[in-house]
Amino acid sequence: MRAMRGHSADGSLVARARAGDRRAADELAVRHVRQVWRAAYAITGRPDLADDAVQDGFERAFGALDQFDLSRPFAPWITRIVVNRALSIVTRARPTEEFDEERHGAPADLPASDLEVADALGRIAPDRRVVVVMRIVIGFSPQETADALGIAVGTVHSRLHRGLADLREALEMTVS
Amino acid sequence: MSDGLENRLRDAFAPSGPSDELVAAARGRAVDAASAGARATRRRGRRRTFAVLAVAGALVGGGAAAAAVVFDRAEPTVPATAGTRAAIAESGILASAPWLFQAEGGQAIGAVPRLPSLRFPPRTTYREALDALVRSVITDGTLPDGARVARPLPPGVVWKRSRGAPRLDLTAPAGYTRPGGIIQTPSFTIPGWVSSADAVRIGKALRDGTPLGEDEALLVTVTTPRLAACQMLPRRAPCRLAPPPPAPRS
Repeated sequence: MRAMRGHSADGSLVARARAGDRRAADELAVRHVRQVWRAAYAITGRPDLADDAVQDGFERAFGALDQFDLSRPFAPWITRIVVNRALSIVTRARPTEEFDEERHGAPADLPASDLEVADALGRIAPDRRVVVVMRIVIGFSPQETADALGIAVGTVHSRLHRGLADLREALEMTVS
Repeated sequence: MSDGLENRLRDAFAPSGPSDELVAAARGRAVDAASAGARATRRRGRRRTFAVLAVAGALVGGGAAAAAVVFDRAEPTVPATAGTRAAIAESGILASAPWLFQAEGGQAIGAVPRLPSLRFPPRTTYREALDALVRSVITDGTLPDGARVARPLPPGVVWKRSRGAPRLDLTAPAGYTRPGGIIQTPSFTIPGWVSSADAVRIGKALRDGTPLGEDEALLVTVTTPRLAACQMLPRRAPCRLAPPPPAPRS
């Protein structure tokens, strides 16, 4: 769960990528793409939307590496950018499109119980969902989550508490 | 109850991951975006430098009217923030450079102690070396990266041409007048193709010492002085200079 740490190594890669080192940028992308995709998928509930969020988020984040504070950990920073992109995707009005199981559906190999959780998570408020994903699914600390989302640590705690309560209720409804 | 729910959440998403196609696409976008960002940062860096140089023009380009303000021992002849001033003060070389501090007007090359020279990488031109020195002093208050302090050049020599290790004199990097031998400060130029209206506005800003806008600042560049043959090595003949004025009696 804490595989995204290693801040000093990330900082070095960011510094090299800023100077135009393409290999450093690639290594940085490889390090983080799976974890941020998981966050985007947990928020959007759809692999195709997670793909969009990650690609857009990476383009924005890596194009703005000069704005990253090297004294801070990189993982919350890039996760925040991708998560914000995922949120804007799920909250904007989308044109009606025909459901395509292959494009829009959950991964075929996901057990039914996991599908229930993913479905229930998609039914709680986005601001609480994001905190639940960053704290529980990704494993950020309350402080890292607060820094990444630009909110107080106390707000992280309260949104997590309410988000888990909402999730529990949504799961009970699913089961019943 | 909560721990069970949290574990279930973790377990639900732990096995999921992006496709190989998405990973490849994301890596490609990251590399391209980082490269474009690095190029943009380098361009912005040049613009910032020019913006500072424009203020330098405001200080030293104003001629006699500005000289009374500029030639104060406490103020360098190029613009400097408090941090830059502190860095200059910490530098034994820059703190005593007669082209950077001229408390009582220009000093004669023959009347000041010789300072070390700067050795630049092979094939560096005089224009590039002077530009690097002025930019570095203005932006950081330090000597430029990539150059190394070396022994002084022979008296009167400003630039040693060399394909292997060109050297710039730190006593008078912008040269000195002949026959007076007065050490020159860096000067700045507005190119001739700038419209007359813009040139008037920029010139007024330079004289008044007011900062220029970013676009206008881009138009102002460090002037490369034309050095006399005797100020360069290998030189054909020594510079004939007037004797320095006698020191005032105490």
